[in-house]
Amino acid sequence: MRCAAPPRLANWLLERFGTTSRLHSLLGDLAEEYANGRSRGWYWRQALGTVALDSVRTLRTHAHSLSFIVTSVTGAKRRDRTREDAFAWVARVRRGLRADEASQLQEWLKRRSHRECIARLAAEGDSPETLAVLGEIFLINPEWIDAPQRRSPAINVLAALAATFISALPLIYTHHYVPGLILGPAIEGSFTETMGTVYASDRRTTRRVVLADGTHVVMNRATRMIILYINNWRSVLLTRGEATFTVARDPLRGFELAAGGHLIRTVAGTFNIHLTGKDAMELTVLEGTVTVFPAHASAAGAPVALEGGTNLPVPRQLNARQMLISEPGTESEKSLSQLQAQARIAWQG
Amino acid sequence: MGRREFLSQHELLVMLAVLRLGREAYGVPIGAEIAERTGREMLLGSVYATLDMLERKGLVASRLGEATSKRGGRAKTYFKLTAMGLRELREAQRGLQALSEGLPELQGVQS
Repeated sequence: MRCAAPPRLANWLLERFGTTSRLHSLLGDLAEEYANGRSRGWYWRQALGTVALDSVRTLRTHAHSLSFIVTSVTGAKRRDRTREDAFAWVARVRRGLRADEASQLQEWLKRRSHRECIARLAAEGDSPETLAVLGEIFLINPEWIDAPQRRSPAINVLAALAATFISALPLIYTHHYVPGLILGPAIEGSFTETMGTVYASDRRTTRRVVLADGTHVVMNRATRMIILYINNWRSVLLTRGEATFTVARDPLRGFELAAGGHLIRTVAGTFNIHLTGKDAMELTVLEGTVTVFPAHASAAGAPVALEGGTNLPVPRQLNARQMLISEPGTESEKSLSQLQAQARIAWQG
Repeated sequence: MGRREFLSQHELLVMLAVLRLGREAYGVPIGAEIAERTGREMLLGSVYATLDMLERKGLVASRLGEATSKRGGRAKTYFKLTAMGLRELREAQRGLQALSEGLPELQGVQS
């Protein structure tokens, strides 16, 4: 057994440039092998090889960001103009898009730079609901959200104005964030890997998940959901299948679930939701109270065009042992006996 | 895994080595097992990077082991296959067997 310490410079290089999450164990393994008689040359090969591998991996991961930095050196004026436009669109999305605006936005979003810009703005504005709507229209690259850019002073003023405008509209928002309703059907996967944590169960087994806030979810087979907890929001998007949520009470953060073109909100309670079709769902409330914002505009198939001051659709309050069966444009509800309610979740076994 | 992904060759090698080693599966023996059985030397850093990836996919699970003075006080990380990992491995093996069956060029190559 060798007593000399491993090369310190090699260790420093690994500690400084190694990116594996198991660096501590890797260094331990190297030390152990070195103590067992491996040569300094072997040690150096391992250290340099690992640093080189990790660097290549890091470069690959950030190639997109690097190319963005290079291109951002030029065209500053065009970029500012794009950001001004993006601010205006974010505010409109918050307010709720009119029919003509929806098509204009989709046209504007054809440019990749516009998509990136608006996604960054929504992320900088800490606006998960806007990001969720945008995520329905186009695929948001996670790096756009992870690496916010520096703003110019002029843009800061615009940001402050937009924030003031936006903060005056929280009530309007609550009736507008209905994925699949404002701008057409959700694109599966767009909202997901980019922003939240994706949970999926396979076709053969159910799955139980405990979320960070203590909310329990039992997922039926072939179910997929995305969890996004940001600051004051606990948002879930159910894109496929069926799940039972036992929502933990959190006085500071509301819980909302978007599914089948509806938005469901609760403070605490247990409910089962089953997506029965593209824009159809079956909601069974087992405990507590949930509020359902119906897909009021989907019957006509047109985008929502509500202005501030317009009568907003009345949400439905469902209490324990009630079921809402909903299809585009129609909602019906009925009361259930305890046995009937339990039968709804018999799939849990 | 939300979307079906195929295992890479590195992932397959590392998973098989983890399975062979059982409770003793940590970085050094995993690398040694692969070297001994395939003649292919893998960097320890590469072994760990692959294990990182497999853990993110839910195919292996890890636990911290003992720290010794020989290791500079650093704990070992032991790995084992999850049920999903084992299933993926079986499916990969079935696929390989189905593809290689009846190929005269591969006759007598298997040890």
